[in-house]
Amino acid sequence: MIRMTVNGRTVDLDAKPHERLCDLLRRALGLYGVRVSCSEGECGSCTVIMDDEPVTSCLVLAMQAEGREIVTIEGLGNEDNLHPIQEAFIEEQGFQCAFCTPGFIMAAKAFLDENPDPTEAEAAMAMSGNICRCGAYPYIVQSVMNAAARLREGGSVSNTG
Amino acid sequence: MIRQFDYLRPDSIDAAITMKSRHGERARYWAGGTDLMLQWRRGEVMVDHCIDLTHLTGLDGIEAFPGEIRIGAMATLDDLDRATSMHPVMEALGDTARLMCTKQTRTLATVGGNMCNASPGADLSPLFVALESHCLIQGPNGRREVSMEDFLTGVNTTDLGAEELLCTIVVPVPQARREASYRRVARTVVDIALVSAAVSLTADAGTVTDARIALGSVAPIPVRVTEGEKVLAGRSLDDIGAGHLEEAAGHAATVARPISDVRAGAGYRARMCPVLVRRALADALGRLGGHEG
Amino acid sequence: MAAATEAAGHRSAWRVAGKGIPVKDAREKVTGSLKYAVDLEVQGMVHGKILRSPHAHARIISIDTTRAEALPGVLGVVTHHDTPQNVWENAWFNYRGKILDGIARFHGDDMAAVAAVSEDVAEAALELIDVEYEVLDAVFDPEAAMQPEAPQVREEGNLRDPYVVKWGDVTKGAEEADFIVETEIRFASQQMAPLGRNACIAEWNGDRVTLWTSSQTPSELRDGIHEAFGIPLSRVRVIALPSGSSFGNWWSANFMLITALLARKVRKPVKIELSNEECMATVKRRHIEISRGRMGCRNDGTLTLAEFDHIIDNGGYGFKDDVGFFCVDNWGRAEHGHYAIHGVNTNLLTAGCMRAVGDVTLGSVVERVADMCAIRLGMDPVEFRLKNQIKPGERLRMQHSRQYMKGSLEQYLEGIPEEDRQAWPKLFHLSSGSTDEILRKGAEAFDWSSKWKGWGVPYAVDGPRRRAVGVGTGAHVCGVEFEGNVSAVVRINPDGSAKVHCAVGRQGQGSETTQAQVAAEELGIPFDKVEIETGDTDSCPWSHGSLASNTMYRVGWATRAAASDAKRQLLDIAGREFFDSPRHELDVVDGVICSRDPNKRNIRITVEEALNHFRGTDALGQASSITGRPQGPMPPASTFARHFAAHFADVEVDIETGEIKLLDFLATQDSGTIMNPQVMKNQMIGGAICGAGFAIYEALSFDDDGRILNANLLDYKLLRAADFPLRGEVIYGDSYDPVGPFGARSAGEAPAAASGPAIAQAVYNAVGTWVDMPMTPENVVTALDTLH
Ligand SMILES: Cc1cc2nc3c(=O)[nH]c(=O)nc-3n(C[C@H](O)[C@H](O)[C@H](O)COP(=O)(O)OP(=O)(O)OC[C@H]3O[C@@H](n4cnc5c(N)ncnc54)[C@H](O)[C@@H]3O)c2cc1C
Ligand code: FES
Ligand code: FES
Repeated sequence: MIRMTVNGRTVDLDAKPHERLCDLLRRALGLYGVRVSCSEGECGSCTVIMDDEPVTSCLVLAMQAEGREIVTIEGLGNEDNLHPIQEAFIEEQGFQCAFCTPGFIMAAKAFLDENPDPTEAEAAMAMSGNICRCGAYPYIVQSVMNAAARLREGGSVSNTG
Repeated sequence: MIRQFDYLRPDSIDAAITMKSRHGERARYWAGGTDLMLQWRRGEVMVDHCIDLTHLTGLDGIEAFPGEIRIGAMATLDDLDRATSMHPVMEALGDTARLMCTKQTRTLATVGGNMCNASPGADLSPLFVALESHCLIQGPNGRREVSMEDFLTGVNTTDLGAEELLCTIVVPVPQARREASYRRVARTVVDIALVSAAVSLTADAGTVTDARIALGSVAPIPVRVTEGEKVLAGRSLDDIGAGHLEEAAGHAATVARPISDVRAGAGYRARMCPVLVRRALADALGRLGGHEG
Repeated sequence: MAAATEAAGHRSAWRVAGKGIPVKDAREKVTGSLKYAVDLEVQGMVHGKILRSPHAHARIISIDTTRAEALPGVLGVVTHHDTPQNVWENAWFNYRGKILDGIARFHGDDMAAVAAVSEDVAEAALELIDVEYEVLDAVFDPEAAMQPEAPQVREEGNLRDPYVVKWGDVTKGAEEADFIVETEIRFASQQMAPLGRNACIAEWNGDRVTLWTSSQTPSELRDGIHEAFGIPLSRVRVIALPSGSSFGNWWSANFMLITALLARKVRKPVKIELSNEECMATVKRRHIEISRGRMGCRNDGTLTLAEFDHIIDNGGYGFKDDVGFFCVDNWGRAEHGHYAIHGVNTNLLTAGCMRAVGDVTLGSVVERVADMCAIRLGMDPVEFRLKNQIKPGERLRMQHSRQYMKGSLEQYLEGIPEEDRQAWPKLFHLSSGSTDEILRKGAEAFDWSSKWKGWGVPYAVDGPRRRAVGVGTGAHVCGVEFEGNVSAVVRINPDGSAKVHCAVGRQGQGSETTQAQVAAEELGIPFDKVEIETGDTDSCPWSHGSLASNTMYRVGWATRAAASDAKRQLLDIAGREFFDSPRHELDVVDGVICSRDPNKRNIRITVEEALNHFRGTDALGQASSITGRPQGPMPPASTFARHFAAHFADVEVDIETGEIKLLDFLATQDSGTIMNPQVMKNQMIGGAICGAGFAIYEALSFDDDGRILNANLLDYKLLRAADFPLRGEVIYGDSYDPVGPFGARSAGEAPAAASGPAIAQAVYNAVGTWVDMPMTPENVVTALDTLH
């Protein structure tokens, strides 16, 4: 049993010694928003936030996350209560198939926490740790800029229709 | 055979070394895992025991000491990026770190891992070589030091003994001004270098007292361009013209021994060496206040 | 076209069509709750893994599964010995073969499979299958494979009959020309590199099977299972889930059939989940293509001749004789022409239709040769395109019979009653749209006239860096008919809501939304009350699915026709029971039925009221619903409909290192009515990025044994956010299609074809020579050497 905090709750989980963090989050907690595509650290689909830093959870051993604080897309907002970044992605249509979207949103969250008022070029660079094969990049960057504005304006985590 | 391993978490460097001694060949130090996880999953590296270094404290600092900066082996590439303002030599290291991996793997990947994995394409190795760095190593028989040039011995091989742990990379900071630059050719914004060049120039009272040039991705280990270095050493900054840079860079083509692989052909790699060396020299020179920068 | 102009005038009255409504599943998508096949589990399921061939061409002499079956946790193994030996086919001949037949036709081919209690056990069991192979001679080069003495990859032989189109007289075309230019280009293979992988779960209940998988083509997959297993279609149910990016990868795939095979063997639901490497090395890819072409031109800039010879490698299991040739149509004003497409098998991974098949490759050649003409003339490439590209009403250059048809298109059409054909546009002629308007609008928005400095002339030079602009155009079909017709069902429920059933993909192209928009607009029912089922073959009528840019044009036609049929029935009831009027006097607006007759303005009946007219107030669940379906035959889209893209690129080339940077990019498109601009802009830019990736970096690399060396995202380079210009602006043409729903045509493929030529031309203008794709730093430097 290892203990960690996932999306604000303390959980005790039975992790295998060689299990990856992404697999544990999906298997034990049903957090399917943690997407696994390349398993090589390239695509960023599996991005979660660990102790305030974005990490590709396909490269992290579950055991390495013991005692740490993990936030996944499920911890950001849900369908009834979207996070401003999620609202921004809808407004700008920053996705197509959306397999990559949770990873981008988590990367955006970590980025905006560090740089709340970025330039477009900074946002594009920050979003380059993820791959969107559908090629929504300009709209993903617009989503991040839109989210930054929402968050600066106090970005209430609200319900938009 | 089902691929699995046991997980061990040492609470000190000594404990880690003891574990490694006990479990032998297939026990692996596990740092950021950004190389090891892939190698293990592909079956390239066998692991029976994972000795996780990420919970160790004291190995991840980047600190300034008189005459040197000490980078803990467990400092991440992201830490390196954040330490840019410590000293001009750290600027080149930070700039390089930012070119590497992706943001969400830089938070995992360690400086020590980049060196111990010893990939010919590792971005930090030519720069550490150009910066005259050396390694602090600890093993069952105590501590020792080795220069970075001697630490890297071949493709994925180092001077580390079976049980030894790389603890610190020491980057000297001379009294005189030293500027470094790293240039590479890559494909997309996230890529392994197809070919690269690192330089450092040290100037005292307007004269270059030391020049170091190292190439990456063109041989198993970084290659020094010593003939090129000689072109610049001893020259006054004001004297150095485009011709000197061209001449120094020209020597790069003769020492490179690249291979062809899926990323690029040997001919292309060889051809880029002088171009990158010239550009890196111009960067460093520019920061030192030379004309041709 | 007067009718079209009139209809276009109605656009302002539309409530749903043409609106940038967020996609139906937007909230699921941004919260990560949308489920793909990899996320699905069913009760009692076990896991399967596939044994893959270590040889590019080999025959199994013996296979012994005893040790594998003895491994604790293993439930069963399938080999070709327990596989029905029926041939199944993926849509458009993208795969033709048996599920397992003991022969390896490419490195990584499916040879056997194991089901076990966990993936780890299944994987371990694979190593315990003892196989003895007879290694056969293999052939990898498409031209070598065309030779009669080449190793034969398939029983049917390597070579398909060529797809040949001739018009005019090429000798005359050459004579009429003042000059002729020609070139040859060899294209490496692009990989779909699907983000999100895929999985399939199969479960048998008695002799009925259900499959859950991410697929763009639910009906075609159902057909494949029926063919391979020899069971009635009525016993096959496919439930297609949304997929990650697909680009043609996730139609039907042999691993899905293997899942069904394993599940039948072990009598338990089985899930096979592919690794990223399997997705990139064992499913599909774009063809390797070799193209030779020439064009004749007069000194006034009129093309007289277009001639192309194009070879495509089908890999092990592809069986195609053609690829998209709509780029030739686009330049088909030349009065004399000839082109031939030759499909040939090799011992490489199966190749098939990837986004804008043919129009990305053959299209690049056509654009290149045309540009070479313009260079000779010193003519602006925008002008040259305006002069020589097809306009509405002009002839399309296509064959009148196809690989899968018994006779010609004309013979097929003879069977369709004259009155049904009356409203159709003239066949074999372009019905609407062209590059004309978008080229003009795009050039203006891009400030083309001030950045264009002439052929091979950069607009800026900064040390080793050269900057220049380029323009490229692309075209693709709007669905291809025959091989079955497409249908849809629209149900109006007694509560006034409606449900559309149409078999289309959900690979991110927004069809679940745009089809619902079509239905809502036609029905007059609010968009929020219209839902859609796209994946269940038990409730969705047959359709090709989302391929060949079918979805908006052909499925959309069916959806609109079904909605119209349902509405007709609704208005019949309302007319009879409430208005005492014929249905043509009635309409539905925002879910309320009203009359055009001024005397009946005050009668307002909701859809719900109309359908509950005969129901007692306290009788719950008694009301009936209306089911609508298309009446009459669907017009044959490929004989008149195309969509067009024109792209403008601004690049910087470092002539020392060969690195290319994209500085600016503008995409414009003529797809008729834009059903949803939010969806459309992504199709355009996403297509542009797919084409740009192919132009600069994307290429599969094979070793001498036919093994893929870069089946991973480390060395198969995909563009990232900072690699592509951020201008998200796109420009639409204003045409209105006479057949497509509300004037819409298709969207997704032409943009993938236009960006490569635009970038290639910009690079030419920057450095003064053509660079073949992929224009990697190394290839740029090599091409520059030819200048000196
Ligand atoms: C997406 C992605 C992009 C990448 N891009 C780049 C790039 O641009 N440039 C580049 O150079 N690299 C790149 N890499 C490679 C990799 O990230 C780096 O090499 C990284 O620095 C390795 O550090 P790590 O901590 O993850 O090492 P690990 O994977 O943990 O370890 C690597 C090896 O070193 C050994 N080891 C680690 N630490 C020690 C120690 N202190 N003492 C003794 N042995 C030790 C391990 O046993 C192992 O054999 C990339 C990797 C990924 C996944
Ligand atoms: S799945 Fe982890 S980075 Fe791609
Ligand atoms: S939206 Fe499909 S991969 Fe990004």
